[in-house]
Amino acid sequence: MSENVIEMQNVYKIYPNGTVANKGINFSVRAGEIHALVGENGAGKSTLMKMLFGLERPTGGSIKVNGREVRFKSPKDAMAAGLGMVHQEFMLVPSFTVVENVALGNELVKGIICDRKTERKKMQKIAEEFGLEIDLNSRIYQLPIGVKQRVEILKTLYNGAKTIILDEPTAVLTPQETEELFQSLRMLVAKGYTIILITHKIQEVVSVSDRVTVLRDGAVIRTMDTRDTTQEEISTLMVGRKLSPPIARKQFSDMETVFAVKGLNVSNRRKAGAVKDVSFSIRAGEVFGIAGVDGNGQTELIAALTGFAPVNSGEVYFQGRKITNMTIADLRDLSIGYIPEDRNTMGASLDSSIGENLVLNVLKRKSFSWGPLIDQKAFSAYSDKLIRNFEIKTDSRKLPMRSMSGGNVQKAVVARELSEDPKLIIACQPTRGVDIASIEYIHNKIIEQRNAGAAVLLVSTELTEILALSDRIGMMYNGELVAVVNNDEALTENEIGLYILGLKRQERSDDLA
Amino acid sequence: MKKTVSMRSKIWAVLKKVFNDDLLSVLFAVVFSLIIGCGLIFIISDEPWRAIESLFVLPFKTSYQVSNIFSKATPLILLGVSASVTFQSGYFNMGAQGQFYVGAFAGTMAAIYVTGLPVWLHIAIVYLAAVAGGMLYALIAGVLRAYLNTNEVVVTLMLNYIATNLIAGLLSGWLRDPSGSTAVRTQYLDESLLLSDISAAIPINKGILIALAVAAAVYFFMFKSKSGYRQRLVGKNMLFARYGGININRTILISFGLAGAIAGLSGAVEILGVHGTYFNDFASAIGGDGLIMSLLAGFNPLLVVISGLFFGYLKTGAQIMQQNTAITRDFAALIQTIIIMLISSRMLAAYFNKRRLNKEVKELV
Repeated sequence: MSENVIEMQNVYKIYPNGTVANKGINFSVRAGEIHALVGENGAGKSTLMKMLFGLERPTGGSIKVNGREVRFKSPKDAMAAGLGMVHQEFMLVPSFTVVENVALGNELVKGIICDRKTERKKMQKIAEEFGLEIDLNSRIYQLPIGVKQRVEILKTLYNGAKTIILDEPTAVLTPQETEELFQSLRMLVAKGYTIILITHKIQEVVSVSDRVTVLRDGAVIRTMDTRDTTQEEISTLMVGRKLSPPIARKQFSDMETVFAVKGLNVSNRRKAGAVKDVSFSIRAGEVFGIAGVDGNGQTELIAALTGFAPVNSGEVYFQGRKITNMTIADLRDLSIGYIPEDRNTMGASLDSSIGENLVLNVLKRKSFSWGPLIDQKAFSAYSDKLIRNFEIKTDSRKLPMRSMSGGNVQKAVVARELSEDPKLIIACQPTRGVDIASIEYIHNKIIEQRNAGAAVLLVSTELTEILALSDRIGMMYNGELVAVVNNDEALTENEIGLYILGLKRQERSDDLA
Repeated sequence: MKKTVSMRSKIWAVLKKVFNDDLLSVLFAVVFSLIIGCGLIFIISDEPWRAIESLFVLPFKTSYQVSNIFSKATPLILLGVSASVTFQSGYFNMGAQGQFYVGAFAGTMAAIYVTGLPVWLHIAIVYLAAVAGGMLYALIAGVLRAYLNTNEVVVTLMLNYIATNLIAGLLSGWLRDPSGSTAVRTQYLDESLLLSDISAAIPINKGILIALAVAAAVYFFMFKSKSGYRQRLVGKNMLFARYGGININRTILISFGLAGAIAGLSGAVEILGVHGTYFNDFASAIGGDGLIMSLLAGFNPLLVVISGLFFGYLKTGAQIMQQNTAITRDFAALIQTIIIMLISSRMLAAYFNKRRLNKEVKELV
């Protein structure tokens, strides 16, 4: 058994506002292993790693690196002790070259001039050693996300890190890029480096890590060897209970087409052709998923379909009626539920009360009037009903939306948009950043509506979500729908990856439309 | 021992529920600024105790002074309510001053030049003219904001100068009192049109009743009606309101129209209740006071009544202090300023933060 490079003992973190983020955590990492740190949002993973990297100070407990007790005052101390961290948000200067970014703060100098040549040579050597394919002379803004991440890793190595913390590194990657990243990680551990991988994707844990530590509610639930455990066990430990099996999908045949998009073109402010000639249709009782890497036209497509942006050309039909370029208000009067991508700015008004959020679509009805005023009884009855039926956890409808967790805010959004049994549901990233229990709940609600005959348009960058919910999947790349396939046994994440990276496209056929 | 502790924490919990954080910080600011004010009195005055007595005690000494509190509070409440309407809807109406003057002027014109009607009808027309005047004047800024996306802060501020100076010009020329007085004002209005006291027993001007009624009505509109729900939603999160199919431009017009109408009404109440004539610039800086009343009350029309009465009291006290000592009545403005600096540092920061976010979001979509 190899020795521990990191040992955190009985570590506590209590924030000034009273939030207990970590309670008595014991966490150790062995030299030369990939150690996965998993847990839901808010389980305390990030806090723990921030303390290890000197970004936060522990309230109690001890941290040892290479057997020596440390008290980091800043990340600089942590780096000096051989730690490196790749954050979820990259910290790179877009207009600088790769070399300039990697050397930033640690420049080699010849007199008063930076010695870029030697720097580059050194970087080249490291990059080659660990299979990090990067053009060192290009500027950061020219690089795709996957490469930017490699730059971050190169930077930690260049700064002499022996232990590297990666915070949700795969959140922004396609399956192919993820696989490349994992190969680099394996090369690193083979050469004696140590990796701590923060993630919430259990599949990745199983495929790449040696050991795994599960956090829940700020405490370590268990640390185990990955080969001795299963995905099911890890997810049960993470959530604290067994997940119920997904709702069975009802089989339909010959249902009518509810929603059709024909030859749609949309431009955004920066460029024409944000959405190029997109056509698809959705039948009643069908979930049509749109897969794609963020920023390939999905946002613009949805904005045009929901009345937020004008359509350049093409048509949109709902229940046989042309709804192209209708106003938001008119679309709201149709039987369409819309779960927007960003619940914090568009999906909910966080400073308004929960009740005021829930009645948004129905308040204008006569049944909510009491003379010139709002019928408070109808108002409270309606919002309480939704809170009950959709298991929204709150003490009162009068509390501000902000008082609830992200998962419950999203449940409230879903409750508002699905409770009137719409014929079409447009769901964008319906479970981004919410806890597993809420994901399960929201997925089930969407399937329930589908089974009841609703047509569902699902846009998600999470392939697992697309695969779990969709009947058919459209692949979006660079504003185009490059393929539409049935979601059956034969379809793999890898194949989807090829389409959404633009490496493959389907011959255009009639069933696309 | 243990029991008292739990009692105390219970009382504290109730207090916290009644006064949320913002309200507590307002109370803190008020008390703290009064302490600073008293300290200043001790520094600058030869007879500090007399000054402090004048400021805090004497306003309650005679019924005349008590009545004075209410008449000073009346425009503060009305303009505070007016400001709350736009604040709640997420806009910034800096033009209450101009709308107040335009309303007062329109009311005065209707009082002087409309003749031959029964008194009750004439009174109604005077108020209607004031309301319409204030509303239309505010709608200039509202329309520009809604359809040309002009910055309403700049427009309303500029409109104040136009109103004040245009009316001043008219008053010193054509509309000047024909009796030959040297004052820059119109002739005195007919006695029958003026607002009288509530009764002989209660010598308080009826204007305060109008202010209370308007505060209550606006409260119900903003917090209990569907239209008010939409207004507040736009104020809280404009993108969410758009997403809900709410017509944003309509909320802009409603908030400016309503705010201007109340400001105009306030102008007429001031003319008919206090002055009985329109003399030039008769209430300078009252529009700014209205903003402050609203800010103090957390934009709640009902709480504006309290902040208005409190400042009516302070202004009355400051006036008595000026009569009795060497300290001028601007002292009330000083205390007002200290309070505002203490509160606004936090509240305005939050307000502008949200406004900026809303703007960014609007640009994104």
